[in-house]
Amino acid sequence: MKKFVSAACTGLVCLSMAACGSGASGSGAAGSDGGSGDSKKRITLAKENDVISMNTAYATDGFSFEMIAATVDGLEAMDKDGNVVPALAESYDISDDELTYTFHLRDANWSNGDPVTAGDFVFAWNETAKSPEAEYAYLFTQDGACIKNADEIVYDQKDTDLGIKAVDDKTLEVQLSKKCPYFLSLLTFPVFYPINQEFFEEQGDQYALTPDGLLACGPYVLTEWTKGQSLKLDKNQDYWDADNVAIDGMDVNIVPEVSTSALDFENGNTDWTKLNSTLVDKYKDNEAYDTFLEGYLWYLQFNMNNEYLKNDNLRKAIGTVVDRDNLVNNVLKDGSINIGGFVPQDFTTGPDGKDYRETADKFYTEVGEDGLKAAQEYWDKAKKELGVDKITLKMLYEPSDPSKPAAEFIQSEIQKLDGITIEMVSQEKENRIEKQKQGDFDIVLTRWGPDYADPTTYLNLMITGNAYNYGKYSSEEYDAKMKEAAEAETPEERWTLLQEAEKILMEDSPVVGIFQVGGASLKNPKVTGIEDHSFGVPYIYKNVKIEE
Amino acid sequence: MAKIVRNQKDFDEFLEGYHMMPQDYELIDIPERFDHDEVAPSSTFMHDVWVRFKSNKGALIGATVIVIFLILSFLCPAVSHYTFDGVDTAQQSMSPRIPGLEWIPWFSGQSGIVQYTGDLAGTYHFFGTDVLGRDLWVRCWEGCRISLFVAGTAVLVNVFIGILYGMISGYFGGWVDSIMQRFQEIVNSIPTLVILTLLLLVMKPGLYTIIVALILTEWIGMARITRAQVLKIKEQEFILASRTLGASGFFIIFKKVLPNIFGQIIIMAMFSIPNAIFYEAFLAMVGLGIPAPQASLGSLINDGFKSILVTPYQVVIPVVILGILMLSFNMMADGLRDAFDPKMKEM
Amino acid sequence: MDKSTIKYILKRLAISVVTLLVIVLVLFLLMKMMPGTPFNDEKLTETQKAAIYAAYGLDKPVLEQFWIYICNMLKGDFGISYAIQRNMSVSALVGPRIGVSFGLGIGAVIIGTIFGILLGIVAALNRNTFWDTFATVLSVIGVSIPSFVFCLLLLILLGVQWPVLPVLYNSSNPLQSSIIPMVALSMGVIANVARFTRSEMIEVMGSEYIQLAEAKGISRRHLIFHHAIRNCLIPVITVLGPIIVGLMTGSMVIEKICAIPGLGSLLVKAIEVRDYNVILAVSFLYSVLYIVVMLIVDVAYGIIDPRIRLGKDEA
Repeated sequence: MKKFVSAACTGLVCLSMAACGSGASGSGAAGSDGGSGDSKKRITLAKENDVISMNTAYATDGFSFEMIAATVDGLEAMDKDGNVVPALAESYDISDDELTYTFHLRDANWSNGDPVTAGDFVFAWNETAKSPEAEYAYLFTQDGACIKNADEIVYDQKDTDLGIKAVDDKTLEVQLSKKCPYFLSLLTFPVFYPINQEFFEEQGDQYALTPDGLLACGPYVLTEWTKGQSLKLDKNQDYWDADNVAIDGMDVNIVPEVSTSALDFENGNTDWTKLNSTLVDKYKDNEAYDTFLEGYLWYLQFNMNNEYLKNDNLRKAIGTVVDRDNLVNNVLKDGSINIGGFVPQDFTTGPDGKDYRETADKFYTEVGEDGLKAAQEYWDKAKKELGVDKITLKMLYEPSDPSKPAAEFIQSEIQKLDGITIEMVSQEKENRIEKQKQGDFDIVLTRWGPDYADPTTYLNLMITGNAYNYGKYSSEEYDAKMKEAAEAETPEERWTLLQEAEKILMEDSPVVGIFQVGGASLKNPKVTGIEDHSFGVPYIYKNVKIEE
Repeated sequence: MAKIVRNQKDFDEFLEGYHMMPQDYELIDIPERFDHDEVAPSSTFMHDVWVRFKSNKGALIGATVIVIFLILSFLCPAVSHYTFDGVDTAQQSMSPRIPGLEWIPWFSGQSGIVQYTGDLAGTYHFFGTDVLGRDLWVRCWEGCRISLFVAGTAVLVNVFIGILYGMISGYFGGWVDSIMQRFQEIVNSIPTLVILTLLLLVMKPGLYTIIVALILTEWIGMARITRAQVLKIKEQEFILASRTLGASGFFIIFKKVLPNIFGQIIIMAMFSIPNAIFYEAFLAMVGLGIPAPQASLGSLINDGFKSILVTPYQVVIPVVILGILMLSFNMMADGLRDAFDPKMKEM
Repeated sequence: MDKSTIKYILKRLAISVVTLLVIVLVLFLLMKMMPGTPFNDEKLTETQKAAIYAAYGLDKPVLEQFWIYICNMLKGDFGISYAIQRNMSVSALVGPRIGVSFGLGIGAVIIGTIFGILLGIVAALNRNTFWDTFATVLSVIGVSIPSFVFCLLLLILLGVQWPVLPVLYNSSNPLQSSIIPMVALSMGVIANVARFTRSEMIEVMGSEYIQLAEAKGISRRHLIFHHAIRNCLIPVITVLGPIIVGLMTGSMVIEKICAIPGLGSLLVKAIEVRDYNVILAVSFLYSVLYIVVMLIVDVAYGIIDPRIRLGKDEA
C-alpha cells in the first residue's frame, strides 16, 4: 500500500513537471491585468473555438477570419458601419463597363521586411483558386466575385490563370467575367488577402501552422499559438497604419463553455465574451452587457414534396402561428430580431442608401392573438382543401443554441393549431444538412449566412434547381422575376425587382423567416472599438482602445 | 432392523409396534415427555432472503422511497393541470413556490426571473419553471419516470448479458476466455461516441435508441465484474469438490458460482442504474438523448446546467431527486446484499 | 516477477498488437460508414467536394485507404487534420494534448483511489456507525452530483467567491489550474472505490483466516494492514482499470468547462466535424491505453493475489 502510494505520488510529480516543461513559455500573467493596463495595454478575449486555419485559402469560420484580418490586410476593409474603406489599396479605378478594376497599392511591408506587392495578390488568388482543398475558392467564381476564368479553374479544373495581373509592383488589375455590384465588399473577405510567395514556398507544408510559419502585414502579429487553448497577438510595429493601433496586443483564450468565460469575466481576467440566452437574464442590466446582430437568418423550410405541405394555406398557417416577437424577446433574449421575410436586416444597403428591410415589405407581422387567429383561418382553409382533420409532420432541427430552444418553442406554437402534431427530429448540424440534401424532412429549421452584401445571396437559393433549394420549390414567376433583376439596367430597378421577388416568395411561403440571430456579449466597458459585422469578418480589432 | 428415534412421534410408533417379550428387559421408566428440539417450519432460500431483507431498516426505507418516487412519477404528471410540454413564455424561469412553505426562502418563489405577481399571484409552481416556462414539478416527475424506465430496462438486459458473458468467459478460461476477452477489448476500445453516431444512422433518436445505446456500451462493465468474481470463486474448494463429483460446467456455473456472486452483481446492478441515468444525460449532450420536449432527469440536469449561474434551482432540483434515488438504490442494494449473503451478518 | 509472468506478458503483448490492428480496421470501416464529411460547409458544391476528396485521397476504395493509412502509421505518420486545424499533422495536434489529459486523469485517479480506499476501509471497520453512514452519504453525493455541476460549483467557490485558484486552465501553470478539474473528476472515483473497498473489506474481515489471526492475538493494526487490506484490494484494482479508461473519455465535459486542451474534448470535436484522421488517432490512442491498463491490471492481480496465477489459463 505504502509503496503504491509513494509510486503514485512520484508519478504525479513527474507528470506535472513534464507538463510544465513542455508548455512553459506562455505569459501566465498576461490576462491578469484585465485590460486596465498598467504599463502594457492588452485585452483578453474568450472564444468558443480555436482558429481552424490561418491560411487564407482554408479559413472558413468566423474566428479564423477574425485572426487573419487582425494580422493581414486586404485591398479593402470595412469600417464600423459596414462601409468599404481603403486598406492596402490606396485607391482604385473602375472601367466604364465595370469589368476591370485597377488598384493602386500603398507602401506597406510584411513583418519580415519584404514590401507588399501586387504580385502577392496575384499569387494568393491563383493559389487559392487552383487548390482543390480550398472550400471558399467558389468566391472567385460567378457565385461570388465573378473573376475572369475562375469558373473554369474552380469547377472544371482547367489549367489557366485568373484574370488578375500585376501591372507593376504597386498596381493590380482585376478583370471580371460579368458585372458584380458587390465586388468591392467581397474584397474584405480573407480569401482575397495577399500571401508572400517567397515565404510561402520557403515554409512548404508548414505554412500558417505556427506563428513562425506566418507573416503579418496587418495591425497585429501572431506571436504565440497554443492549439486548443490560447493565442497571443502583439502590435505590429511596422504596420502602415500603426499610429492608429492603440493597444499593445491581444490575448485570446479558447473557452468552450460560456458559463466559464462569464465567471472569468466576473473575475476581471476576460474583457470580452459571448453570452448565451440563459445568461442574458443575469447580465442584462450590467453595464458590460452588449448586443449586436449577426448575419445568420434562421428560417423554416418546407418540403414541397410532402403531400400536406404542398398546400399553400398550411404553409402559411405554420408561418403565421409562430409568435416571433415572443420567441426573440422571451426565449432567445440575446438580441435576435423578428424577421418574417427571407432577407435579413443590416447587411445590405440599397442604391438609395437605406437598409434593404427598411424599404421592403414586411411579412408575417401578426403576433400574439391576431397571429393565432389568422393562422387558424389559414389552417381551416387548409383542412378543407386537404380533406383531413389531423396531420403529423416531422420537424428537423439541430440540438444546439439557438436552434434547440427555438425549435421547442416553434413546436409548441404550431401545435396550438388543433390537429397538427409535430414530431421532433434532432440531428447534429452535419447530419441535418445531410438529411436536407436527401430531402428527408417535412419541415426543417435551418439557417443561412450571407456570402456577400447583396440580397441575392439569399434570394438565389430559392431559384428552381438551386443546389440549396432542398424543399424543391419551383415557381416560374419567381424565376422570371429573379432573371429580370439580374438583367436590370439600373441598380434602383434591380433593387425594386428583388423586393418584388421576395414578395412572390413570401406569398408562396416555401420558406418562412423566423429570426435573425443576435449575439449577446459581455464587454469590459473600458474597452471600445471592437467592431462587429453581420457578414464577412465578424469582428475587426484594429481600432480597439482602452480608456483610462 | 434399526430404527432411529427422532421425536415423540417416532417414539410412540416404536412403542406401539414393539411387542415386549418377557425375556427382553424390563422398562423401569416410561418418560411422560420426550425432550426434543422444536420443529422449525421448512423455509425456502427466497423466504429467508425476504425475512432478512425485512429486518433491515435502511433497505426498507430505500425500497419505500423508490416506490414513493415511482408512484409520484406516475401520479404527478397525471393530476397536475400543467403538462410537461406546455410552453408559456409568460411564466418562464419562475422559482419554486409551494403553498404553505412560502416562509422557507427556497420555496417563496422570489428569486426567479418572472415573479409571482399580477396575474400570476395565485399560481404555484412547486419546483418552478424552466426557461420556456414549463412547469418543473411535472417535468421532474415525468423525467424521473422516463429515467427509471430507461435505466431499469437497460440494466436488466445488461445484467443478463453481462452475467452470461462474464461467467462463461471466467469459468471456462483458456481459449474461450482469450477470445471473449479480445472481443470485449475490441468493443470497449472503440470510443462510444463513434458507436453512438453510427447508431443514430440506423435508429431515430428516442427512448429505445437510448436503451440500445446503453446496452451496447454498458454490458462490458457487468461482464468484467462477473468474470473477476468467477475467477475468485472458481479456485475455491467447493467448486473443486463439485467438479470432482462430476458436475457439468453449466451446472457448476449456474448452481454453484452464480449464487455466490449474486450479491456483487446486485450491488453492481444497483450502481449501474444511476450510472445509466448519467449516461443518458451524456447522450443528451451528444444529440442522442430524449428528443425535446420530453424530459429525463439527465436532460433536465443538462438543460438546467446551462442556466446554473442564473437560476440554480433548475439544476439543483433534478440533482437532488437523482441523489435521493441513488441513496435509496444503494440502501436497498445493501439490504439485498446482506439478505442474499447472510454470512456478512456475522460481523 | 518470475519467468512465467514475463512469458505471459510477452504473449499478451503479441495478442495486443493483433487486437490493435483489428481495432484500427474496425474503426476505419465504421468511420467510412459515418454520415457526413469533414468538409461540411453548407455552401460547398458537389463538384468542389469531389475535388477535395480526390486531393486528400478520400475517393479511393476503403481497403486501399486503409492500407495506405497503416503503412503511414507504421512510419509514425497519422495523417493530417481536415477540419480542426486544417492541414496540420495529427501527431502535432494530438501530441501536446496527451500529457494534459493524462496528467489530469492520473491526478484524479490518485486522489480518488487514496481517499476512496481510506473512506472504504474506515467505513468497513466502523460498520453501522456514524463513519459508515458518513462514507455512504459522501460516496452517494460523489456519484449523484454530475462532475460538471460539481466542477462549476468549485469554480464559482474557489475561482470567483474566494479567488484562490484560476478559473481557466493555463498551460504555463498546469498544476495549480488543474486542481479544480482533478478534484471534480475524482469525486466519482472516490465514490466507486470507497464502495467496493468497503464491501470487500467487510467480506475479508469476516473470513476465517482473519478470525484465525485474530484468535492468535495479532494486534488489530497489524491484522488490518498486513492481512486484510492486501486482500481487499483485488476488486478495487478490477474497478480501477475501467475507471482510468473511463476518466480519459469521461473527462471531456470537464475539459470543456475548464477550457483544458485535452484528448476528450478533441475527440468530441473531431467526431462532430468528422475529422477522420483525428478520430482515428485519438481512438487508437484510447485503445492502446485501454489494452495497456488492462494488462497492468491483470499482472497486478497476480502480484497482489498469488493464488491467481497468470499464464496458467493461457497455457
